[in-house]
Amino acid sequence: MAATALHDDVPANAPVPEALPVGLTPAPFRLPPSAAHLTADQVEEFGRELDAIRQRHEDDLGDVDANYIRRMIRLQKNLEVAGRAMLQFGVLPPAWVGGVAALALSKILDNMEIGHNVLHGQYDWMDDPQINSRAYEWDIPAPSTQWKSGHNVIHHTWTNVVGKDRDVGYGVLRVTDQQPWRARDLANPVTALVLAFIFEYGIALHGLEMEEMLEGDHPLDEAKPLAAAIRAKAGKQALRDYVLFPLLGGPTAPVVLSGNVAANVTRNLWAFMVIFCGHFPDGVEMFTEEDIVDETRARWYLRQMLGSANLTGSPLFHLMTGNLSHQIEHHLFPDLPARRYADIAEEVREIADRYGIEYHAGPLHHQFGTVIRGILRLSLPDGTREKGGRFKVRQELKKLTAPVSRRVDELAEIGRQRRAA
Amino acid sequence: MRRVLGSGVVTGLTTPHGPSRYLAAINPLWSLEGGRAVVTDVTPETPDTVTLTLRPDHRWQGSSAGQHVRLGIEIDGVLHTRTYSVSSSAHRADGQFTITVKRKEGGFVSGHLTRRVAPGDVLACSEATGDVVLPEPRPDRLLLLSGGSGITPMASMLRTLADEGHPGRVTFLHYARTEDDVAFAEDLDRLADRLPDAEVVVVTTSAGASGPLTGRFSPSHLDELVPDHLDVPAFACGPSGLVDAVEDHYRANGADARLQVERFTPPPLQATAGPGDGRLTFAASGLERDDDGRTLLEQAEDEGLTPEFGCRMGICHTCTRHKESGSTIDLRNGRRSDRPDENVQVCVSVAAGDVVMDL
Repeated sequence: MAATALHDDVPANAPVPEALPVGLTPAPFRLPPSAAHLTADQVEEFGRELDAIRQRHEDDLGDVDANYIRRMIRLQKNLEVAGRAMLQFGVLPPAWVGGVAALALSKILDNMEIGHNVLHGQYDWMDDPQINSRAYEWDIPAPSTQWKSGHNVIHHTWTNVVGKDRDVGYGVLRVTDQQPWRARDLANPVTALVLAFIFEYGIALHGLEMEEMLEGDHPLDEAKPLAAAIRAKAGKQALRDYVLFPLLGGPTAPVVLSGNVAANVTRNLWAFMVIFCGHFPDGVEMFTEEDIVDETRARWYLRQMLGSANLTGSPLFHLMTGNLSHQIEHHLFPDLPARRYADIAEEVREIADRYGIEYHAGPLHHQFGTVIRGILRLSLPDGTREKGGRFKVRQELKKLTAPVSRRVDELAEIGRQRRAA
Repeated sequence: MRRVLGSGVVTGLTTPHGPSRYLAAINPLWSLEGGRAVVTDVTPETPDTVTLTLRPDHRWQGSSAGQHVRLGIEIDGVLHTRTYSVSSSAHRADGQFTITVKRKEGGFVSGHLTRRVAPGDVLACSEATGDVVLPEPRPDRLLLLSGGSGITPMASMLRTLADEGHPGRVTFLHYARTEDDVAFAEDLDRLADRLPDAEVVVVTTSAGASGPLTGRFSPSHLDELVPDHLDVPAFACGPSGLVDAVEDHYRANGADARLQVERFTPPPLQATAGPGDGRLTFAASGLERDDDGRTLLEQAEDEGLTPEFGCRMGICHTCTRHKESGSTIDLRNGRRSDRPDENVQVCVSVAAGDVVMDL
């Protein structure tokens, strides 16, 4: 993530880098450092190659995709029914474990391979009254309409542009050194841990844009109907998982309740891990608002590619991530059915190699490891791990406490004056 | 059972998907809302016409003679919805109904329905709708006039009247290219026998046809068959050319109150017009303008409309809107949307000729 700082070092009219064949001029806009060897024409050609992939897959949409998503929906329903049924007998430990596993799997499928992808409009071409981005509602507290505007519109258009993409740290975490360090970032690791456990509610609250409200960029009134919609949806979800199904269990209600909590938390932790590996591992680039001035579709592709990271694994692993393990392909073609990403990835990787553009990918444990390291490192102000860093932390903390001590001094002064009077 | 499944508790237990989605996981035909029909029989009528017998689910409330249904058929993953007249009697007792489909030249959906559909296939099926129906009480005299596939609602009316033992005088005048193109030919004769005072006349329009009446519709045909036809309640259904001619005749004689019509418009020819050639109509807001070649979204905004939008580059699907008619082109790949009732992303679509948008 540190690499992005280099941007500022490359002047707009930088001399032709050595890698560039003689006679070619560099792009008249700033390219990310790892793509700085490309000319403007090459970038556009790169874009055309990706457009061609998109076209080929769009032309090929059909029965296979429709049957696939229907099969997934059926599988999810069957898993959910099985899970909830087993949890009714949850007093028997194997039934509890099996029930939690089936219910968690069903929720993961519902949220990731079905909900996320259907809400992206990946299956809108089917014109199915249920399986489309306007009608589908998912098993998560965030109402689909709110999530779509925050995710499909803001995150996917302004991906990794610090200050525009609200998913850069979700407004509560520091995930890149392009975000200036603030005192609250000391809590980065704790915030991340808490967020992981309550991720479903984090996603819902993220839609409220509380950060912007606290900073006065958003009137509070705008949030009221949004908050009401979240309360209504979250309430129904909670009523189902934490009241109705436990009540069905009669005397075993606490067992059913614990199983439902466990399933929700399992889904939360898994979704958190997968999603954080999409944009926050080492090497993934962040962008500034200047980087996207007059951005063409080809440069948008380039930004999506450099700003995302894939996870490697088996087909089952990809399914369990809702194919978000193919984060790069998802960001290039967010509305193509995700079941196609694995095939598309081979073509995209070949293009990336040919253009000498980095293609970030790694196994989950490695990628998530770098995410955790980043969250820990970024909790401290920049440069604190270098020589004299400890002094710097003290300085920062002093700055933090200064207003408080000033206030204490003032109060003491007031007290002294009162006593004197 | 349906009441239990639709209860608040079951809805609460199945939120946010609702009970129907779980039922559908067991059997794709099960749902509380309904709206499906199973094909139970496929009968060829003419070389390019078939009658499909459908068994609709509980959503179906029966039909009145002359009404139509919207049927959805999935072809290669895409649901295509078209409107078809019911061709069976309103009194059919087994809860089924029929539609009769003629394969159109290059017709994608009609081609599929006439050649591929087999018993057991499932279609999406609306309730029956339409205001052009036999009046209640039945009038003493009736004139039914149709051309080509416009015969289907007329067949439903005749069958309904036959089932009622309608005693009044009914004249049915049908125009077809040749004798072979007449759907239900045998059944029409039987119907004429069942109705005590019915006359069925088929006029063939192709050159070299013989018979008492030939050629395209002319008011003289009516003068000959029903001299006082301007006083008789009449129904006309078929291609626009025929229906327009009949309507002109009634209007010219100040008798248009007697006539009810339904047009089976042939599919519009592939527009050759390009961006900037046509007229844009924003139907929901009643606004119109000359298309200037920019995207539908930009032009709607010029008119002061504020359709929802997101990325303005075609990735987020926020701006997807219903196109009622006309052709549009997707700027990203040049792909055309030529059929009516398709959804288009207005931020990346331009009009090719006249377009009516649900905006």
